[in-house]
Amino acid sequence: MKKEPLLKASGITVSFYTIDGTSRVLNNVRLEINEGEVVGLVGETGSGKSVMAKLILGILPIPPARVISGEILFKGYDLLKASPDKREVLKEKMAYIPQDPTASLNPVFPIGTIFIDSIIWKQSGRSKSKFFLNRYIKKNRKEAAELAISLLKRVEIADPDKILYKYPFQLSGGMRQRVLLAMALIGSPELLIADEPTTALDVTIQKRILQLLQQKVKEENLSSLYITHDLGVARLLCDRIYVMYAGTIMESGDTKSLLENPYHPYTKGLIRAIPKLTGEDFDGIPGQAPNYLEFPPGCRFQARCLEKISLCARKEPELIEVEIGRFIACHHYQAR
Amino acid sequence: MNETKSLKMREGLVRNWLRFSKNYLAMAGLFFLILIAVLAILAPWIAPYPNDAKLGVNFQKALLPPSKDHIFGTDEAGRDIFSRLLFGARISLMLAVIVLGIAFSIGVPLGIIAGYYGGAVDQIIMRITDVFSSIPALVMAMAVCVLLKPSLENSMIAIALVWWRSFCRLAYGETLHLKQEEYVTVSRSLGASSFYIMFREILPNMTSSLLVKVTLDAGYAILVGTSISYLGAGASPPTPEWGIMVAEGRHYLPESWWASLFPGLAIFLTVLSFNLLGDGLRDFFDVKVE
Amino acid sequence: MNHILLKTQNLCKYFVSRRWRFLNLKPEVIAVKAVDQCNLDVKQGEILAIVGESGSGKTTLGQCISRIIDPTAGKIWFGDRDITNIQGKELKELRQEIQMVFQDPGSSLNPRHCIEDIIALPMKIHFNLFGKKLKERVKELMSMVELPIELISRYPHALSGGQKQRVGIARALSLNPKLLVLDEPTSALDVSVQAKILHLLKSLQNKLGLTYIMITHNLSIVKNFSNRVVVMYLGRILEMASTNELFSFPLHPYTQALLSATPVIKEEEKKFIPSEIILEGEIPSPINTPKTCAFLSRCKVKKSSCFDRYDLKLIEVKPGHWTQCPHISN
Repeated sequence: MKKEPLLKASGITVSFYTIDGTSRVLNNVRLEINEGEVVGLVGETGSGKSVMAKLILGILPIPPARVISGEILFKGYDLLKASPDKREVLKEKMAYIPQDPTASLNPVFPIGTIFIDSIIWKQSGRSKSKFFLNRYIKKNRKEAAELAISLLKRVEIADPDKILYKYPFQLSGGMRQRVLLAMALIGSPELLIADEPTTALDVTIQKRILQLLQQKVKEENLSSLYITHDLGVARLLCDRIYVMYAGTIMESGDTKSLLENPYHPYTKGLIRAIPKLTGEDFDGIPGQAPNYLEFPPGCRFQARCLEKISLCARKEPELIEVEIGRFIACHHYQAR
Repeated sequence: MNETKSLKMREGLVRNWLRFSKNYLAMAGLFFLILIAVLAILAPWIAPYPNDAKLGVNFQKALLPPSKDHIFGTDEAGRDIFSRLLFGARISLMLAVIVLGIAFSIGVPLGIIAGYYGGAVDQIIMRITDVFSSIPALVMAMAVCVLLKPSLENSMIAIALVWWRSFCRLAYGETLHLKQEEYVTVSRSLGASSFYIMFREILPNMTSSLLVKVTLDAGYAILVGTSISYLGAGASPPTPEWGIMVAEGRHYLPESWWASLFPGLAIFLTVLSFNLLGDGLRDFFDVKVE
Repeated sequence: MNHILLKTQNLCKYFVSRRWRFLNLKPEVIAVKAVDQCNLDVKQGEILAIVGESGSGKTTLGQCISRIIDPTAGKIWFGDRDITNIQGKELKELRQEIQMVFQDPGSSLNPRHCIEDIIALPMKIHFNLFGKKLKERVKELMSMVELPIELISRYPHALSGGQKQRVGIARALSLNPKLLVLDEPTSALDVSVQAKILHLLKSLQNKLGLTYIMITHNLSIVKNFSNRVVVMYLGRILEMASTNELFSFPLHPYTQALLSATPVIKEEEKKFIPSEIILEGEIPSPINTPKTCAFLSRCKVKKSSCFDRYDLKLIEVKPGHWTQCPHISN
């Protein structure tokens, strides 16, 4: 019998209320992550992928955002409707690696302070009063330091004990990202959400970090939601990919088959737009990034689609399973 | 083509106005300032006793409490306080405009030049600014006023002489930061003259901080002006300046409280309005920058 | 055979600062050798790619070539003119021949200037154009880079990333230069926009007979866009060859690692990159780099003799294919 997915989001619709109007940033999003799986969420800037990640983590600022509908089941509990206490308990099983390692580490504290505080916070069960008490007990700090060193060793940092005394600006980009990865592993999470962690890194360092991530995911039996705009990176790391455009899931499926044989016009356009080492032709997608305030009825991609049919302007396509494991939201394809 | 330009500009202005108007305190400040400005401009026509602002004296009516004839009462020379307040508003607002205008015109260019060129020019200008900055505004203005003959015009010159230093410093800091911007490098590499870069590339990008400063400082400048007059070094009676009115009225406290209170309230509300507006502007620009 | 448009000879750019330590008479000298002894040439009409990661000095090299900054040592030849140390009027005139397009379209456009002013500025300064003629020329340039004319009086914040980059290109083209130095023109853009900008650049090159120096870290773009490639690391040129030659026979260990790290989309692209080479360690600090091989700290095939070799020079191992690695050249 197929096991229940670790994370199952369905029908997620989120709107932002601003002076200029209401923009529906997430449009009926559906996402599933099974245990031990690395799922990629791929989209260009402004497609809403970070919003989705923040919603799952519970750090989306609720005004001006508003969840119109949908549920996110994590280990059986709906994250959106759970009580704050229950949500805290569930959040302990999630870890987050943010995009820019420089901006995520407070520059006035040495790595050790940041790390130890995070460990004690987790150990105090995320309760503020317990945290302030525990923070000043020397024994706690010593144990936390040892845990920090062992975690840093797991992400293959040399001389971890020296690193604790260094400030973030003294470390290179790759090392900062490793520190963040180590901090994400505190408390043995089950779900790792990584928001474009290698975008700011050089390509040879990126390769190393990706290999490290692959190793860790296998070793710790993590499930992961990997957000990126780089299809090449997604190909390396992810078992399945969701392709997102304008807040809508356009296509999803197993990585290799999706990239070798895309069905959705947007996915095809995206793949065609990337220059390839084979030297084959590459070309952009016509049109411009969408205006979230005014969407015409029907499919959100129609303005830029080369394969649209008349139905596309009338009705929004649904995400339907066309083959085993391959989902697509496109009238043109479904009409075949 | 021109219609498109103005249409788009209006669209931006409308949107900005909508966002700004959500700050109720700032809107209150703006409203009150507009009110004062209108009253000040129309003073000769709406003041019930316009002569009282100049030489009209009527000792039989001295120190009458607020009544139907005299909304804010009369002072010790029988003059209608309300009319005098209206003319006093003209003086104070004029002071703010002149003082800030002079200070801005001296301080900002100096600050930009110092920041842009650096080196010896920077040192000379900024060290002179430091000297001026080490003396408190009120003290220095008083000293200058007393050196020259104490009068309203001289007090304005004195305050302006003291005020340019903070504009210089602000422009200097902004220039240091802005000259690193890539578009400045581009312009320089294209062969633009230094003058062009300073005043057409860098200056337009600091307007938001300058605007906030001008607004907040206007209130403070008025306060300094009234303080100087209160202390006797500025305008002299019978000029209906708010500071003098407070000074003269204080002899008659607490029985004839209206003689000092209303001028005092006028100063308070005007300065407060400038502050609220300035704060609101600063919040407005901050979010935009982010 | 096209003639050589630009040539550098032992070009160096050092950023030197002195720090006086407490109680020491001699100051500590910190030298960042951003560009160290670089020799390259660009032929008329070709596209030369300069490839490297952060700290490689590729941006600094680009800025030296376009004379935005002054080189510390070495020579730069444009045609048969020595442009290394020119200043003043001569330098201003050089702007009409060499122009630069910058990486971040957001920060290279003054947010307080409208598009017309931005594109018109170089022509105002150099050609003394104004009024109607100037506006016509601006419109001409805008249509050349496929920008809608309505945007002429808008401000940068109203434009998308791709449109802003087109403004930057239009501005660079306004003086009819012969050589364009493009500093990572598409790194800040989305993938779908990247392709369009690259196509625009290619078509402009054909139409106007331009020569490009393209600075980038993306090898897929290099393969599809450039004729010749230069690989940089820590301020030094490690390998130089034609694009096809470099991708078919990468000689320097760093080049091979760089190729191996390039993420690919399709299975068939894997034929073009060597098998997994994962580099350990970090890119070393560019402060006070030693005189031995720049790549020594991370090289997987280094030999003991590598530690004794100093001041490595580029050697032509095959016709048109140069590399600095002593072992390959032996």
